[in-house]
Amino acid sequence: MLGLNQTLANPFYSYSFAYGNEDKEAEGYNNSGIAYIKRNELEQAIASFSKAMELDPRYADAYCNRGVVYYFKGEYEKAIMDYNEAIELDPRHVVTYNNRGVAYSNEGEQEKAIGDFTRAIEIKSDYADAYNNRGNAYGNKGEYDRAITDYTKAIELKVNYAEAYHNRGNAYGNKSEYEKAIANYTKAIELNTKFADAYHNRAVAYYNRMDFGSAIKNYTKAIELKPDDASAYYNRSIVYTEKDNFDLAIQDSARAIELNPNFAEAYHNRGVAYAKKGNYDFAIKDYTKAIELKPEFTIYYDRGHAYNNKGDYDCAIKDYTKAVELNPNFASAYINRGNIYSDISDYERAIEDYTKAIKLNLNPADAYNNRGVVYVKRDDVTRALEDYTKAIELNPNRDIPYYNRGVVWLHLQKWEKAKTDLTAAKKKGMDIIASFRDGYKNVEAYEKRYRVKLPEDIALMLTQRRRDRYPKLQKVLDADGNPIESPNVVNLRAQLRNAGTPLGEYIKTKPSFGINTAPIEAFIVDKATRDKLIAAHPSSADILKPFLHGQDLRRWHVDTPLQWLIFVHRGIAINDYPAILKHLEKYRESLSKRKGKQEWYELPVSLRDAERFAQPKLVCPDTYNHQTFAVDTAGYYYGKTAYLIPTEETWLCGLLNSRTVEWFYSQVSNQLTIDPLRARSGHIQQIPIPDLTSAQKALIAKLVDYLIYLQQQPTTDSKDLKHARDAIMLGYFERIIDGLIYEAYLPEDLHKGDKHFFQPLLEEQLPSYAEIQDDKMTVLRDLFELLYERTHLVRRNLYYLDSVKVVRIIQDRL
Amino acid sequence: MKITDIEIKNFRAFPKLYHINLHNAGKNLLIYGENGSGKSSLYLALKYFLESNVNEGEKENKNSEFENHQNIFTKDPGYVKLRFRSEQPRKQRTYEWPESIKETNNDLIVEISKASGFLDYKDLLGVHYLQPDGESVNVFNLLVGTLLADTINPVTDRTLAEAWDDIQEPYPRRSAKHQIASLKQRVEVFNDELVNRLADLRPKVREILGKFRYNVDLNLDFKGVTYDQKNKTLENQQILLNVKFFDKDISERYLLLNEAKLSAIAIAIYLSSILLLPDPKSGLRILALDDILIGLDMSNRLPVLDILLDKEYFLNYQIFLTTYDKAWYEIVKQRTSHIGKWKSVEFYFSETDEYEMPVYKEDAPYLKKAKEYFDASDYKACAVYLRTAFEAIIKRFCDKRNLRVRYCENPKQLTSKDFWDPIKTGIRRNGTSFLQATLIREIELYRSIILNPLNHAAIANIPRREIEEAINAVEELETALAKA
Repeated sequence: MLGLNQTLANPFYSYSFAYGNEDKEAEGYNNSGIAYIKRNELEQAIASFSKAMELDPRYADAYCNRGVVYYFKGEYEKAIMDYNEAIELDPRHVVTYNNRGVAYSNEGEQEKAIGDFTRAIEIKSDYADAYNNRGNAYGNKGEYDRAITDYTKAIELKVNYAEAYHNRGNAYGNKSEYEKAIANYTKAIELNTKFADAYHNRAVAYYNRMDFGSAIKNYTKAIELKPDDASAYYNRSIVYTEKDNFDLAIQDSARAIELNPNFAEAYHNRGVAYAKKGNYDFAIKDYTKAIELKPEFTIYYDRGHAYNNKGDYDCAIKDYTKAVELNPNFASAYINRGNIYSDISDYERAIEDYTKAIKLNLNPADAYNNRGVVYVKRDDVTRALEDYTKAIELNPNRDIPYYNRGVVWLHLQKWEKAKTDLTAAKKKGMDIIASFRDGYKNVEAYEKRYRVKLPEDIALMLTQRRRDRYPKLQKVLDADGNPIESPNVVNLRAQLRNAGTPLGEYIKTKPSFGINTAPIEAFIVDKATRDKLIAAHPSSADILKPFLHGQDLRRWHVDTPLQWLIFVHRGIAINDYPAILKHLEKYRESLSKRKGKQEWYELPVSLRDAERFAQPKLVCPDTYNHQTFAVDTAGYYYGKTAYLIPTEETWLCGLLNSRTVEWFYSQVSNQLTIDPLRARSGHIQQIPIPDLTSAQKALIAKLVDYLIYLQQQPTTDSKDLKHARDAIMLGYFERIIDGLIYEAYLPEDLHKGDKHFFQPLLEEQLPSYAEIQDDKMTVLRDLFELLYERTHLVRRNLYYLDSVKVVRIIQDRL
Repeated sequence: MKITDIEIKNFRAFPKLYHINLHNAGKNLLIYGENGSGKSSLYLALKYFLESNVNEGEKENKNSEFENHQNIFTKDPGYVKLRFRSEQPRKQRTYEWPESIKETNNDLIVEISKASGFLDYKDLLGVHYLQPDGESVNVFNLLVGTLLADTINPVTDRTLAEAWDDIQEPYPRRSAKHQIASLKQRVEVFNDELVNRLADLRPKVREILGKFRYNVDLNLDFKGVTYDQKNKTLENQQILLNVKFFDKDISERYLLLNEAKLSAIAIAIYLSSILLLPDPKSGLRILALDDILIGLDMSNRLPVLDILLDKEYFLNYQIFLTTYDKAWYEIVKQRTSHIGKWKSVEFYFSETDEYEMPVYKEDAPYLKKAKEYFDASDYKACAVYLRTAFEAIIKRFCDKRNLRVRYCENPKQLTSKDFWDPIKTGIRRNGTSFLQATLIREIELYRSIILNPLNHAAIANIPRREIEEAINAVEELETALAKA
């Protein structure tokens, strides 16, 4: 509910330098008045101009200029009176028209202002500033298209007119055309590298485009140029809040408050940041201060939220009530108050509130859903069904109402309908098993409680199987339509985010997906075909590259490819590879149907892409259940279902496969259900890389090497129970890496609980894989037994690791 | 770190507030209690207190909700409160359940919970269903379902019970290839884990069985469960316990696996699984055994006690041992009395007008307690104490004077008569009897109606006056015997 403070458009006023006045003395006073203005000595300036008028009562320039001084002092009426005088004396005094226009515009009289600017332009058709200023006046009226036309004219008339670019940026911004806005600000900044407002407003545009990183960079620059600009700090704090970086948000709000102690919005936003951190007491304090300064309904609403989260329902209800008193159309407050009433079993009032929210018709789907929940609590299933159905009609993409209606059908034993709804909820991404468990524990308990037997297929749908990730319990929504999140989770997410450099910055080169190799029957060949192609012409060998799909990948080790890619990059001299050309000819028809600039026989890649694959890298499939990164030092090629991170630092593979990263990644990429995770480059690059010593990194890299070796051993993946020990050995080494990574991200939390991994493992001086001389498997087995011994610190710390709170959060046990 | 105080209010059998002080040392606790006297409630209070740290829904465990254990006779909300004390650094902490469930979701409680063991007689009932075939028997259900259910896989961090639940019904349709593959993978994980668990256990179990003076070699043979896709069943649920007796020359009958022997083996397996856990940082590990020895004869009970008291094994544990067998209680009490780390209490139950309630007493002046209950008009509780006071007094006198008491293989079968008779008829060196004839007559009178444990149910209808007289008589007896 918070808005950004945009800086204003920049108007242009002018002084009237008049040379050639007959009264040289009057002219002298006029000029010294201008000099005073430049030195910001406004009283002296007024005195000078007044003196000039005394000497020459028909001296229009002096009136004009004194008007400018009054304008500076904020005394617009006096300014306008002086301007009037000047125009009376000289009806074609073009500068005065412009200046009076600026004053009118500031007084909010846009029509009069536009009249003046138009007059100025009539008198002087190349008057760029007047165009610029008229643009501002149109902008103030909300007529952005006209404003843009004027700014464009101004830019035509005056090259390098930074302010006009800036103002045109504002106009585009107001039209929500952020790309154009950013281009204009960028031009303004090019012309004037110290243009703080342009940075500020470019930040606003980036923010509106959801590019928070760039927004922050621009605010930071604006603050550098204008260190006492409270609104820039405030705006940046809002972006930090959006990025879940609550500590920095609080810091910036605090700075804004320091600069402007009555900055209600800054108090408000600091409150929001505290609330998101779970520190509701501080949040309430800030909200209260903000309300003192500016009693707005949104702040009451947010304070109500904080009280609600604290469990102080009375105060929360009071605040929501106040919010709807101030704004009777505030549907969200009704919904949240309704949720509380529902929680404290005051169903009448809850229904009343939801009904009001529905009548207001702003996002009524959630209100219908929540009212349905209350009807269920009152055993009024008919009404509940009606409400859920309504909620689904209004927003068919929502999963929760489907689930809720499905459960009602279950109670009514309408199995087919129940199945349809539950399936729909699941398809739309809901973790229906987690929600069912939240409500009824499990199918057995449900059957016992309601003395029914669920049909087998429904029971199967609702039965907890191996839970791969962190469930999201969903049922009631807050007014913004989000299921409420635990502060533990929010804080830990921020803590991890702040624990290191984002992966995207840490590695120097850019990660990417593999090649689009469709149609694969043309470009991907098996060993037999490969051999044939080489036999047909030896040059084929040069462009046949060992190739893997994402789904071929396992953790740690990349198995030797059994397929080859015909690497026909753009611009290839295809005639040098006659056997290949002949092979591709067979698929010419389907190859030609592809879009893109490549020739029919080419892949949509350039020769430069070969470098991407040749260098050492970490690779993972684009969908996976658990983090599945592997180390590839063999320079294999990959299809588009694989994601590649170019780096030589193999320890990163251990980091990326850890539980901590899996939790963080599924959190930030918002993939919390039991469906497989998807690799999303933007989110993967956000994974923070903690700052470790080279010895620590080397230790993790050693363990990664062990795992690469173990993954290749047949006994670690054998169904024969004779090798069960080797299977858990592999798992145990993975757990050790998990322990190290917990410690890397959250050292204070672990050390407080006396859980150390780096130290005892560094003391063991594990041999690197290359250093192991004897039979490697024997050595690793011995190492495993050593570290697995019940008295070994590593074993002990692993066993009791979940006595550390953050670990329990990551394991979803809090 | 040790538990120094236990407070229980309105929990299961405890309808009021009970406080058990284990002193600053955090003593071990030996509890004697009749069935229904509340000793199991105390055991469960500790167990569920520690389990309550587990997030709801994490395990399908309704025990972690206090409301399921609320004493049914009172609406007044109850709690279990434990005070912990550590020496270095010297610190006390008190945790309450269910003040807020969150309070036990706490670093310390999580750790203690993972380090501790709880076994009760019901866990061993499975032994009765086993059908030994000579030297081998399938113990799969006993191990997976009970004895090893709570042990945690060091790799997956999940309990064996969870891994087992993971491969239970409902099974996927025959056409659901992906789901079947995933199920089979989970079966492999379960098998791998169980094989390793058994391998870890074997040497320890053998060592412990050695303490039972079972000169045996024990094998736990598990070939892995398999999923039968066609019939949708889990096959080979079999862990074959194989015992090779080294002393083959002893009679054939001895070699057979009987219930007692199987109970002993089950206990050995359980204790081994606890001993294999790493030691926690707090140093506190709890071992609570509720009546687990009922299936054993005396010759097998003493080794268990030896193991519990053995410095090598459970020295640093805080042990809670309950029994409803008075004789066994006395033996353990006697064996532990000189150790100092032990405290013994007795629980009785009394029927007041409204409800049954446990009467818990420390091994303290029974007579004083009897009078307190008399003053509180709780005649049933008073009678129970009075009876115990009487027994204690006469037993102490027999011990002191070394009077000859009827020999009995099972001390439990001794009644107060066996102690009373030698006192009644005994003669001092100077030829006079210990007691005056009037006192003897009085005691005889009340013994039949109040002081006889077999008359338990009859106590309900005794008038106040008679109880008062009985108190006086026992008091007199105490004085007389002290002088005698």
